[in-house]
Order: sequence, then structure tokens, then C-alpha cells
Amino acid sequence: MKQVFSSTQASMRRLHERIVRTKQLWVAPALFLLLCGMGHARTREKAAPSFTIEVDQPYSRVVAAVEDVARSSVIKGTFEYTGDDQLKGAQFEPSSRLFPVWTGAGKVFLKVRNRTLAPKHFIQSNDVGAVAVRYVVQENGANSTRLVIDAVFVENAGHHGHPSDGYVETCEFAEIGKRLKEFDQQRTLRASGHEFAPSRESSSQLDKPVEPVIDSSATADIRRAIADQESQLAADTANLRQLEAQARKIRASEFVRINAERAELKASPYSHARVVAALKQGQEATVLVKSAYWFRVRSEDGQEGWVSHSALEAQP
Amino acid sequence: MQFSGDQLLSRRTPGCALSAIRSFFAVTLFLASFVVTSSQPGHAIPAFARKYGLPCSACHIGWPILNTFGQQFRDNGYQIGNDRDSPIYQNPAYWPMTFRITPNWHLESKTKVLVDQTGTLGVEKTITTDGFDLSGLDLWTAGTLYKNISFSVLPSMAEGQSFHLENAWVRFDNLLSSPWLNLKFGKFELDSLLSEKRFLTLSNVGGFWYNYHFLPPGDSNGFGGVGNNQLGIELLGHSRNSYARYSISLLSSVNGTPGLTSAGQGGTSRTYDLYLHANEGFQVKGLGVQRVGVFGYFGQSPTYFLTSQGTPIEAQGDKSFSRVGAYGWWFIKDFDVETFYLHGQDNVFLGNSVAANQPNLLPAGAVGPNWNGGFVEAHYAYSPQLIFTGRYELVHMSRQANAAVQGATPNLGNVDSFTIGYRWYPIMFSRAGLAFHNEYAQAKTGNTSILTNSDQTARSVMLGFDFDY
Repeated sequence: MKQVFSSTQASMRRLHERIVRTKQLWVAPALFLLLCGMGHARTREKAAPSFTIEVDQPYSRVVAAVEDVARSSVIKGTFEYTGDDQLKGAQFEPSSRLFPVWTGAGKVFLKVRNRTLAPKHFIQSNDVGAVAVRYVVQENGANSTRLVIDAVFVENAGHHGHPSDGYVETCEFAEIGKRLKEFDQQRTLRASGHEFAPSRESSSQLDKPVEPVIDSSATADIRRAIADQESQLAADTANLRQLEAQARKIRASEFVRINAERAELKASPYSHARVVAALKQGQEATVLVKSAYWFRVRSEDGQEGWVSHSALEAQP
Repeated sequence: MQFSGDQLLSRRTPGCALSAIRSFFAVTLFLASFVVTSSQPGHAIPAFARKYGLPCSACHIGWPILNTFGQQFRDNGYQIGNDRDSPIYQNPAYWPMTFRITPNWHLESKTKVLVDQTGTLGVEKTITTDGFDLSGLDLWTAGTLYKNISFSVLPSMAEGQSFHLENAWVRFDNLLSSPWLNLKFGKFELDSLLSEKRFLTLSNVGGFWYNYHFLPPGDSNGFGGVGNNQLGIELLGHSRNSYARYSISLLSSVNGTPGLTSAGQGGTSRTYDLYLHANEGFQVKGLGVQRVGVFGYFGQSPTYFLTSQGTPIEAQGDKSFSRVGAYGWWFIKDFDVETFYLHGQDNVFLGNSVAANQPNLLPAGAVGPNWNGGFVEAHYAYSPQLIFTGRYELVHMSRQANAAVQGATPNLGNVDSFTIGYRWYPIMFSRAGLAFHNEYAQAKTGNTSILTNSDQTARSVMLGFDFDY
């Protein structure tokens, strides 16, 4: 019994010595957690590359749409206070210290919001500073325009510049897309209004009681004018039919279906962008914006994001 | 009024009580470190982030260090300065209070500690203790009572002790609509950009700046250092961006202890101290805002008391002391360095713990002790969620209080320390903050061992979870 007791004592002593030795092992959890911390910090959001997109629109129209957005006082895709969804109080600026002077081709627009507090969607956003969005519009052929958008937040104290995670640029581009669509609609309306107006005017003129003919040459002129108006009317009618057919085609192409087994709805048009939602095969979506490889779509449940064109097919 | 030598705070003569001074110093240093580390106020409060719906990073480089906006927000009386300050923006669920505590494991070691041994004076040994522990608890509420009237109340408690008020003040902000006029009244931290309440180290050895609390061994000065919160009134002004700031504080000579407590004796204080501080920030292209500041604390401390039936009733023989210094805070993007210098001096009566009405008790060669100190502290923000820190600090006596001490132990009281550590914030939301804290600190104190007058080295290792909610 005594032997057992002394052997227990000895093992307890050994255990205690081991514990004493293991005190030096505080380094192990410290290092482990340091590595965890570094790993965790490494997985921080990554700065997105410049948002670049080819738009199938004439240069002048894209310039107009971009200028319209750049002159608006709102920056989409970022906010200061929880519950907000955009930054108000931005200003159109001819130049900004937040971006180096643009020496490349194209027209540059800048929108700046000063005194912004740690805005969302800028990498490691901190402190108070200014948010700037730069839009570069470049001619890329007769009916194609390249648009490059960058957003950055720079602290007033000058310690850091924080690039966007891509969401700001995406949302700003969505605004530009809306403007382009509005322009298209306005153009269509204007076109129809402009083209038909003279016809209506002509017909109203025709409805008026005809004055007694006094001069035969004048009568001939009137007849010529009427013939011109009639041929114009016919051309307009044909044009209208063509436009209606085009509209039908556009409407059909606006609805797409997921043809891949599994597709990801992403926050930005990049492979590594944040996944907003997973889309199932056969699910339908509405196309909002098209680029060469990525379509911005709205899913059936109202979520918006970017899907690779390879995962989509047009609806029959 | 009558008074006698019995009422002296201390009448020890340095020549015969060197060991007592050393033990006093060691105990003082230990207690100072304990008090300071156990009452780290949680100055980073999720309550503000909750109130405004802002991320912590709006105000902090890394909790709890303030960034430039955080400093502006604080200087502006906890007001952002837009309509978000209005109560209509506040979430009804908003509760303007936060707590902070740090469960931890720590190891403490100290060399040449006197250990009792039967039949001898004792022996000097290295003592090591370790185990799981809790820091003190801070419950902090702060905000605005009304537009341009801000407040702060911070009850703090160390384990097993009662609550004390670390700070409690009301501030009238932007008087005459000018940021240059703000009046604070109550108990508050002395104004400085290098705030000890906001720094990153927490261990027993590295959890405070020695310069902020240094007193030469054997000194009877009741002032605990510029790191202690004080009672009084502060006039503070700042530019709109808080780059330029000044403050003038008139303080009771009570070392922040309520009850007119002068040098530990309640109901006796009747003198005032003055603290001045100014700092300026300037932009350096490509690096950011750099800051420099100067400060001076000019105070008095009693050397004896009038008594009534043995009870001290009025502080007497007030003698002067001063702490003056300068600092810089230098930024190179994610890396910043704090540099600090302090010169301290105490009156000869304070330095030798002799009553001012008994000058004959001053030892031979008695002079007012003075010293110089400083530190260099660096922070590297690998990301806002992982911050490394390192500090080297020293305090060196340039003149001891009397010839005996100067001759026998010229390094008595000198401190050489360094601290390294990191904080990882896996959670840093407007609701709560959690940091894993790991730190190693070491400090050598000159000639403080009791038996051999050797230097002693104290070491701390700390691993803990520092969280607030």
C-alpha cells in the first residue's frame, strides 16, 4: 500500500514537473493564434481590378450617359451609416488628387464625395476621407465603347488609400446602364414623335378646306408636297414596323434561362467576385446589362448580380 | 494651530533605510503596475458604433487607438457634427454603455526577490508565478446629455475590490460656437495624444508607461504621474480637424482621489496643480499626418499635515514638483512610431521625505531628485484586424535625492524595459469587439534588490482575450 502511494506520489511529481516544463509552451498557442490571425487577415477582401466593359453603344451616347451619372450627387454601392444604401452629397469634379492625371485615351469624368466616414465596400476602410469615382470613356469602334470605372477612398490624414472591392463600380455602371436605356427610350419616342409629327401636321393641313385655285403653278407645288408627304408617311410606317420588330426581338432577348447545372450570381463581373446567390438550372432571369462575357441579371426572387454568359441561354 | 513631528508623513533618513526605500519602491512599482493594468478603461466603445451605425474603424486605427476622425469626434464632445447626432436617428434599442474585460493566462517572474529563510536575513531568488486570471472590469457610459454637452462616467473594478470611478465628467463643448473653447469639469484623463488608456499592451510589466507613473524611490510626492486621471477643470481647444490642439487644466493636488485627499489623507487638500499641453499635426506628402506635442505638469505636494486629535485635517508644507516633456507620433502608412521624452524633478523635501518645517532632518548632500525618461513605441497594422506592437522605454535618474544614495546606489530607481506583442481582432463589429492578445514584457529596475542592491528583472507573459460589448 505504501509502495503504491509512493509510486503515485512519484508520478504526480513527474506530472507536475511536466506541467512546469510545459509553461514554456505558452509560445505554441501564441504562435498558433498569430498564424490564425495572419491567415485571417490574409483572407481580407481583395481590391478589385478596374471595372472595364465594352458597351454596344455609340461613343457619344455613352459619354452623355456617363456625364449624367458623374454629375449626379449620389454614389451608389457604398454608404457610411448602417441602414443607408448610397452616399449623397457627391460633386462633379474636373480633376482630383485622389487619382493620378489620366494620360490615356478617352474622356475622363470624376465624381468626389468629401468628408466621408469609413465608407462600405472599400478595402479596410478607416477614418474620414474622400471617395472618388473615375469614369474613362474610350471609343472602341463605330458602335462600341469601352468604359473603365474606378473608385477609391482616401483618408484625409493621408495615411492610406483604400481601393474599392468592385461593388461601387458595378453599381455605378448599373446607373449608367439605366441612363443608356432611358436614352434609348427617349430616342425611340423622339424619333417616332419627330417623324410622325410632320405627317400629322400634313394631314391636318390636308383636312383644311382647300382654297380656290388661283395659280396653276402653286397647285402643282402643293401636289408635289402632298406626294412627298405621302411617300414620307409610307417610309415612316415601314420604319415603325421595323422598330416594332426590333423591340420584339429585344424583349425576347431580355429574358434568359440558366443552362448550366449550377451557376453563381456574383456581385461583380469577375470570377473571384463575391457570390450573391446560387442559381439552379432552368431558373429564369431578366437581363439588365450585357457585356462581352458577363450579363447583369435579376433573378426571379429579385436578386441582382452578374452571371457568366456561358451559363445562360436565351428563352425560347 | 499646533503641529508636531509626529504628524510627519515620513521621517526616515535615506542613509539608514536604503533597503526600506528599495522595498517601498518595488512595492510601489508593483502596485502601480497592478492598479494601472487592472483598471485599463475601455475607451473604445461599441456603444458609439452602435449609436451611429458606424464600423469601429471609423474612429480607431485598431481598437483602442484613435485615428484622426476618432480624435475629432472625441474633441467635438462625442458629436459627429451632422444631423446624425440628433436623437431621432438613434435606434431605440441603443444602450449607451459598454463593458470591457480580459480573461487571460499570465506568467510573472522576478529575479532577486528576498525570500524568508529561518535563521538568516533571507535569500534572493527568482520567483515565478502563473495561472489563469481576470483583468479588472470597466463599465463605461459616455455620450451627449444635450447638444454640445457631453459626459463620461467610467466605474472600474479590479477582482475582489470595490468599484472606483476611473473618470466622471461633464463637458460644455464648442462654447461661443468655437471649437477652441471647451470646458470639462470632473475627473478626467490629462489631455495627450499619447494616451495610456488607449494603448495596446496589458501585462503587469508592460501594461503601462513607466514614465507616466515614475517616482524616485523614497520620494513622498503624492502625485502618481501624468498617467493618472485627475480631478479638476480643463479648458481645451482644437482646430476643426483636431490637428492643432491645446489644453489648460487646473487640478486639485489630490492625484485624482476624491474627498480632497492630499497625499493619501482625506479632507486635507487645499492646493492646485497646473497642466498644460499643446500639439500640432502636419501633413507629410505620401506619409500622412505627423504629430508633435509638448506638455508640462506643475504641482505641489504636502510634506506634513495639521492634525486634530491625531487626525490630519490640513495639508501643510507644500513643495513643488514638475514633469515636462515632448512627444512625436510619426506615421509611415501602416507603420507608426511614438517617441516620448520626459524630464521630472521633485523638491528636495519631497525627494527625501522630510517635512518642510524640519529642514534639519534633510540628509547630507540633499538635493531635489531629477530624472529623464523616454520611450519609442511602434505599431504596425498588418491589417485593421492584426496589429503588432513593440516598445523600448527607459527612465534614468540624473540626480539622486542625497549624497548617500548617489554614492551607494547611483542607479537606484532606473528602469529599462521593453515590450512586444500583437493583437488579433477576429471580431470587430459595431456591436462588439474581441481581440486575442499576446504580449511579452521585461523591465529591469536599478539597484532595487533588498539584500544585494542588485538590479532586478521582472518579466510578464500574457495571453488573453480582450473583449468589449
